Amino acid sequence: MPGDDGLLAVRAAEGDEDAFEVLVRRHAPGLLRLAASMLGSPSEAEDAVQDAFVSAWRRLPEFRGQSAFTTWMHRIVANRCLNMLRSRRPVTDLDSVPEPEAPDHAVSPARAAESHAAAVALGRSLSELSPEQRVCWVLRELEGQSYETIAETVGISPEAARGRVFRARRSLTEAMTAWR
Amino acid sequence: MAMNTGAELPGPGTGAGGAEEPVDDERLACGRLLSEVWESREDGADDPHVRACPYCSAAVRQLDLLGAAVREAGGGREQEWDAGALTERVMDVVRLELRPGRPLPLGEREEDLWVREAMAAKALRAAAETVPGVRAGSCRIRPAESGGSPARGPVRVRLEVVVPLTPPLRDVAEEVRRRVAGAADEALGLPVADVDVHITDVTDPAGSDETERTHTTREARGVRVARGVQDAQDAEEGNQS
Amino acid sequence: MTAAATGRDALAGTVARVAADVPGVAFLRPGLAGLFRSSARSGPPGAGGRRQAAGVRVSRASGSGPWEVDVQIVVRRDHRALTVARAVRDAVTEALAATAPGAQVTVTVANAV
Repeated sequence: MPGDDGLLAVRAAEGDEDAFEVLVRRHAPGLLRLAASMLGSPSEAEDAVQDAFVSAWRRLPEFRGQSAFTTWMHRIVANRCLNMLRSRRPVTDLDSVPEPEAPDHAVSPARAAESHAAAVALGRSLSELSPEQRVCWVLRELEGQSYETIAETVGISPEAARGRVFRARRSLTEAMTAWR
Repeated sequence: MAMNTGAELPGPGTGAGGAEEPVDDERLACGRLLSEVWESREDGADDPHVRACPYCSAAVRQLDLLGAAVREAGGGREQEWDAGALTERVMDVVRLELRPGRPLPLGEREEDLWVREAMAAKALRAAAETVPGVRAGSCRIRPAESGGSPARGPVRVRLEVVVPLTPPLRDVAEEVRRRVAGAADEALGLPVADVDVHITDVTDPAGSDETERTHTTREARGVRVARGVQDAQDAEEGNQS
Repeated sequence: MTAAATGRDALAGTVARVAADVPGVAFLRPGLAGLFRSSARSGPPGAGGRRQAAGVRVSRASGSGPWEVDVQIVVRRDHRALTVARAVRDAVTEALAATAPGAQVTVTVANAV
C-alpha cells in the first residue's frame, strides 16, 4: 500500500525503526533496479542502495514530506550512483571498460542469445557515457521520469536534463550502429 | 537480433543555419535538428514531414532501434533482487543508530522509572490502529506540565491519524482516544493527562484495508484532504443535514 | 585497574546479570561498545564482563555516597513496561542490598521487541 509511505516516513522520522524497515523492504527492489541500471553492476547497486537507506535514516528527521518518500529515495540513490560513477572515472580506453555484469541468468533460454547480445552492447555503450548523461538517461528511459523530475533529482535545470538525455541517446545510437 | 541496418544517419547536414545548432546537436540534411526530430517522436507527434523525409525517418528509426535494444536488455533487469538480505544489512546499521527520544516518566511520581518516547509512541500508534481502518502517523508525547527536566508527572499525547470516512468521524476519534489512553496504562504504565487525536486525512470506505492493497484505482479515489478534527466534524454534520 | 574501578565493574556485572534474568526483559540495551564487543566475541549483548556491562551504568558521587545505578532495558512487547521496570528495580535493589546498600536504581525502558 504505497499510499501510506508518508505515514511510515513520519513514524520513522520520529524514531520508529519498524516503520523504516517496512519502507526499506517495500522500496529496495525498485531502487536496486534503478541503481543497477545506473552502475551496470548488481553488487555495486546493492552497496549504493544500502548506503542510500542508511543516509535516509539519518536524514529522516529533516524530511518534511515536501516530496513523496519514493521521490526522495530516488534522489538519494541517483546522487549516490552519480558519485560512484564519478569516482570510477576516468575510463581510459575501450579495452579497460569492464564487461557489464550481464544479468543473463534471469533470461529465458529462448531469448538468452538475443538479449545477451543487446544487453552487452548496450551495457558497453552505457559505460562510455559520462556519469551525468548516464544517470539522466536511466531516469528518462528506464524510469520514465519527466525532464522536470530528472532536473529536480539531479539538481540541474530541465533544459540541462533534456540536453544530457539527448547527448546520451546520440552516443548510444551511434555506438549501437557501430556494433551492428 | 534482426535489426534493420539501413538506419544509419545521413552525414551531418550542411543546410542553411548549420552554424547555429548547439555544439552537440546535429542538423540533418533536410534542415531539421536531430534533437527536434527525436523529441517530436518521443511526444508521439505525427509530423507529415518526418514521415516523408528520408533523413528524419532514418533518425527516428535509430531512436526506435535503441528503444528496442533497451527493451531486449530489459529482460535481464527482471532479475530477482534479494531485498531481504539488503533490508537486514540496512537495519543492522539502523539499530546501532536508533533515535529513542526523550525519557518519559513511568509509574508514580516518586519512582525513578522511565520509558523512551519513540518506544511509547510505537505502542500508542499500534493501539490506535486496533480501531478498524485507522492508520496512525505522528505521535508526540510531552510532559503535560512544564517543570524540571526531565519532568515527572502525566504526559500529553498528540496523535495524528488517517481514518475511514464511514462512521461518524467524532466516534472514530473518540474510540482512538479511548484505546490509546487504555494502552498507555495497560501496555506501558505511562500516566497520561490528555490524548489529542488529530484527523489529518480520511480514506474512501470503498478502499477498506484489504481491498486497498489490491485495488490501487480505488485508493487513488480516496479523499485526500487534510482536516482538523473540528473541520471534519463540520463536514460530517453537513453530510447528515 | 584501581580497587574502586574493580568494585564498580563487579557491581555493574551483578546488575546486568540480575536485570537480564527478570521476566519480560529481552536484553539490556547495548551501548555501542557493548555491541562491538558482543559481535567480536559473538556472545549475547549485555552478558556482562570485566568492563562495565552494556546497558548498565554505575557511579557514585563520592567515595562513601550511595551508588547510583542506571539500567537501560529492552522489554518484550507482550509485557507491561512499568511492571517489568519495577521488577528490574526490585531485583537489582535486592541483589545489591549486601554489597551496595541504599543504591539508587534508575530503570529506563529503551525499546520493545
